[in-house]
Amino acid sequence: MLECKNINIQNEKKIFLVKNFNFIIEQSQIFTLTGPSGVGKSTLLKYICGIKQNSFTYSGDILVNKSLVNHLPTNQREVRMIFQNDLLFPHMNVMENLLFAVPITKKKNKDEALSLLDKLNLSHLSYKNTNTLSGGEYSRICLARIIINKPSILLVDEPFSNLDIKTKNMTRKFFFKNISEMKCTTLIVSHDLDDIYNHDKVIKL
Amino acid sequence: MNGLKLLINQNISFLIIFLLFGIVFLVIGNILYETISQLTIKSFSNDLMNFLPSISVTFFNNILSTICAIFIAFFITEYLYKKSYFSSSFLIVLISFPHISYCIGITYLFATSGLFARLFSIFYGNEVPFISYRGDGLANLIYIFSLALREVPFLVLIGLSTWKKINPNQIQQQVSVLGHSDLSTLMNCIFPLWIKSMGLPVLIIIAFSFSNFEFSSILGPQFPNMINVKIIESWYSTNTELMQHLNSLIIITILGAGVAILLLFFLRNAIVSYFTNTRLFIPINYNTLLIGKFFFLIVVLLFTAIISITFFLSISKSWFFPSILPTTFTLKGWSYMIENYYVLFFHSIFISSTISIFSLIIMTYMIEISQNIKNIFKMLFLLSLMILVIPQNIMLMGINNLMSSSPFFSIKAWFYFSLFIYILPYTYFMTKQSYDDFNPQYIENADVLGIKRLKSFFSIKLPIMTNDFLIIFGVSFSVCFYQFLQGIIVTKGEELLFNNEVLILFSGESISTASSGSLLNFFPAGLLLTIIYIRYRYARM
Amino acid sequence: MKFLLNTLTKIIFLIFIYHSLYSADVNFHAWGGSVIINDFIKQVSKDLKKKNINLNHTKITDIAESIKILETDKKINKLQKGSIDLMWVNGENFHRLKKNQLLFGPIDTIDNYKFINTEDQSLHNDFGEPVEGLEVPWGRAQFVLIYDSKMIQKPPQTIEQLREFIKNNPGRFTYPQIPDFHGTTFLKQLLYEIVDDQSILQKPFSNCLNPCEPLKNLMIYLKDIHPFLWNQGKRFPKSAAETVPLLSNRELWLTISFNPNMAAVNVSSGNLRDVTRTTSFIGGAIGNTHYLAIPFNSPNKNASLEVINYLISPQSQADKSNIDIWGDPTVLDFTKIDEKQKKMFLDKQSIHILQNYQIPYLVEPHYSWTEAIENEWFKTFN
Repeated sequence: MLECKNINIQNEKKIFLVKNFNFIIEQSQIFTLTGPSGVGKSTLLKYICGIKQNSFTYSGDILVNKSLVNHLPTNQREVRMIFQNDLLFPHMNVMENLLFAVPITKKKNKDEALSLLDKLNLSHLSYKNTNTLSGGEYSRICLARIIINKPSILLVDEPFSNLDIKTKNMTRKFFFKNISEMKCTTLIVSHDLDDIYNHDKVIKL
Repeated sequence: MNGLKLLINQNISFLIIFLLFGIVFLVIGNILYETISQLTIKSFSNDLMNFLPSISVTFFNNILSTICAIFIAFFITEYLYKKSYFSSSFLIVLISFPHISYCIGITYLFATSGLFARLFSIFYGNEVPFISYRGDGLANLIYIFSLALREVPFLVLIGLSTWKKINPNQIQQQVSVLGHSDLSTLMNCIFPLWIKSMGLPVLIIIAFSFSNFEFSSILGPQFPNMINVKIIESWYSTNTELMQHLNSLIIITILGAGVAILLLFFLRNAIVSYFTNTRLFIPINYNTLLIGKFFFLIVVLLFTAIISITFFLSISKSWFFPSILPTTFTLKGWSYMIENYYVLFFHSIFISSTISIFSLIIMTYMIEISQNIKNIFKMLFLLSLMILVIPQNIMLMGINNLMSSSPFFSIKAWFYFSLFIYILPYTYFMTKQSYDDFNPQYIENADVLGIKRLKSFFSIKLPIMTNDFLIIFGVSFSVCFYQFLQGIIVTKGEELLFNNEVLILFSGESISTASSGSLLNFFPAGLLLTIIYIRYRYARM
Repeated sequence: MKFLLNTLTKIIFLIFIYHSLYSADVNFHAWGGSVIINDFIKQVSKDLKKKNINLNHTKITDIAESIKILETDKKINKLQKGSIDLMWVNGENFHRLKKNQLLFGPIDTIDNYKFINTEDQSLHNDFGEPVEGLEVPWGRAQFVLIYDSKMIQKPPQTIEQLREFIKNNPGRFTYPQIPDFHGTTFLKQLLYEIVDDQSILQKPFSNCLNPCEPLKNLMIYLKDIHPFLWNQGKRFPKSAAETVPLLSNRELWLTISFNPNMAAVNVSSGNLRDVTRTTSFIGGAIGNTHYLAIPFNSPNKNASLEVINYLISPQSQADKSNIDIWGDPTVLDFTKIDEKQKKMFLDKQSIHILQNYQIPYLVEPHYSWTEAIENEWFKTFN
């Protein structure tokens, strides 16, 4: 579960982007965070992960599975995230990118990665260089990379914004199926509530 | 536990900084104390009056050559950006050409019996060279232009990456829609932007021109000598009157360098505001690319001529005026160099690469663990600035004083240290630059995947930044390989680099040996940077 | 673990032994600019290997560097394990070493010293400073003029002829910039020609009346010729070696040297043209001697003494004076060596060198004159 208490975020001009913000997401719930653009949704997500912008001031507690994680660096919090413009590592091919998300690479992981790519209709790209991918392919591989990591808490920032309608539907189905299978606690940022179905609650910022 | 680890980590980098700061302060303080304690106001003002010609010559020559270098580099950058970006990175190989060989090459090109005079004599038919009339005016001119052209490759390389960030194509389109000519676009809009972000390289260049010894002694005027020559002269001298000048000269040089830097930055702001507030509506569309092309050709031709004349000197037995090519050939110079100096040659390569790798590792480590602590960078910047701005000969005299008053470490250790602190600023500036250019989202991406910092450093940062690290290594290697004042001032000949031996040979009678030495000297850094250049070229395609 | 420690101690012990066995290393600090001289020293160190002595030639730019090392050693009381065992020195550098008591000696007790003429004052006064056995003569030098015989039929041989030559052939003569040693020597040579009473040059400079008449006349002479020098006297070569390519390219037609065999050596190595010849001032030319000395804190004084002994042996001196090897004139007294040894010195005749050694030998002025001349020159022209 993920809990945020009294979160305040101020920008460099001391204006509050987020003020006294509280929520609790229970295990395997899916929440959606909406709000007009520029209100600080992405900043909030990044803060939950532990990525801070130097000029901003932050306060508030973040609890993962009831333990405080504020002092931990990003990679030691059990929080995973998909950025709005996620990046694949340019010096690795698609398969290497996927396997990089797994702590210890085994034969099992490779099979899993192949089947994931297969489900996304991307298996022909497995050994392609990342800079040959199109925008849609790129963001789907980013999704696949986070899924193979098997997160327990996942933050998602506008996951389907780069896709055309047909692929969007397919990808959305695939994504939510995997999330619910993994019993992953999820917080999704989106403008478009149509994007999201079977969410448990909508929070407005 | 983690917090503790973090604390220790950060303290280590503070510790390193304070240690370095401490030593540098000790060195500077030592030399300043020695100087000031022996200085009276009367003798200082006397010396100041006596050396006024020297001071003004040094001051104006250095400032003029820096300004020339900036403008030439600006036009070349424009030309290269628009025409042939990739062939331009070959200039990086020229950066590694040793200063001493460059100066001596210039002397052989422009002497009354030099290459140009010989070419001229084909048409004129004179058997004997003309009477030489190189007064001080001409010497100043040669000094200014050769120093400027030597610094151009360095400025162009950094200038190109700055240029890319400005996005000049878009600016140019927007401004030309408003009715400006090419030249006025360039001078009114792009130059102020460009020069504003070129502060650091310009600083490095002005600091170098104040601390270099080779240019002022080989190419500079003799009446009056430039200050650096005078300092070394009085440092060596047995003449008591000369020795007493040393103290005032040290103070004067430090002040001079400081004032020059301030003046240059004031000038920069003045020029920027002049260009942004003055409209150069020049109706005719000059082809500004031609200026850049012209300068680019000059730089390339000059370096080619110098390298080839050094090569011919190295294989010639006798080569008298007016023959264009040597008349008799010999490989004695090469075989002499290889036979006598191969141990030192490889030793110098080993020392330089060890020191540059060491300083690269230290810098990377410090930047890596203290990315969130702003103060560390400020302090590192200050430290690098101090090392660069205090003229090298003075700094090394301070190290030498310190060495002789505290015999804790061996001469070797002091020698390596004195090399190390001159690599440090370059490594710091370049590593910081690469880190700033590196997209932090790669690491954030790895972080949110739960990957440890160490792993993400080795499998993401290192592969992506390999080229940057290679270039940093190449440049700091060549900087280290071409140091020579350490061998003269700190160790006084007991520990040397190969470069020192080449310099000594140039004081002797065998030019062919000295020339082969100087080509051999160019070889390691040249080869290294050529490899980097080829890699760079293919990696970025 | 114990085994490891044992091995470690053994290795350290072995290294220690190795170092003490090879402690017969002699670090010879000598100028390293000349390929010819370096080759000669290299040959010497090969010969000395047979006597279990390692002669390391530390190639330095200026012997003043080494003197600074010694001064520092003295200051920090490093009285035993210095880094220099032997140095090549003379003139004001010797004076500085002697004044600060940086030399070990007397060292004229070595075996081969018997070949040296003890009466010859030019060997026992280094720039007017009594040697007192602190250094051993190694080689001699004498001031000569080197010229291109195709451009000059009759070279100048007095100071007035020199003035005439310079004025008739503007731009074809120069001298190395002061304080270069060759440049200073040239001025001293001119001073000898200018003064009426040469004995004043043997006394300290302070004996010269204020204002010093000869020095004033020297500056008048120089002011007269400077506009007709190479580059109108506004630029000077940094060293005598720098004038060699200028002479070979005929930018200069006449230059100075301090080695009578310099022309021959450089013609054979291709640095100078075949038409190069040597002459000197007929009234006499300054000669001096260069010496070998041992610093006070040399760790291998015995080995250094052995090296010096070898370097002044007839064999080594003959090699050194051979114009195919170095061409540096010997310091040995020919009346003291036997016929067999004399044969080694049989001169190779060369048209490039001074034809007959008839030029009188003038002793270097007292060392204090060097500084006085330099300062006066700086004041007048800088």
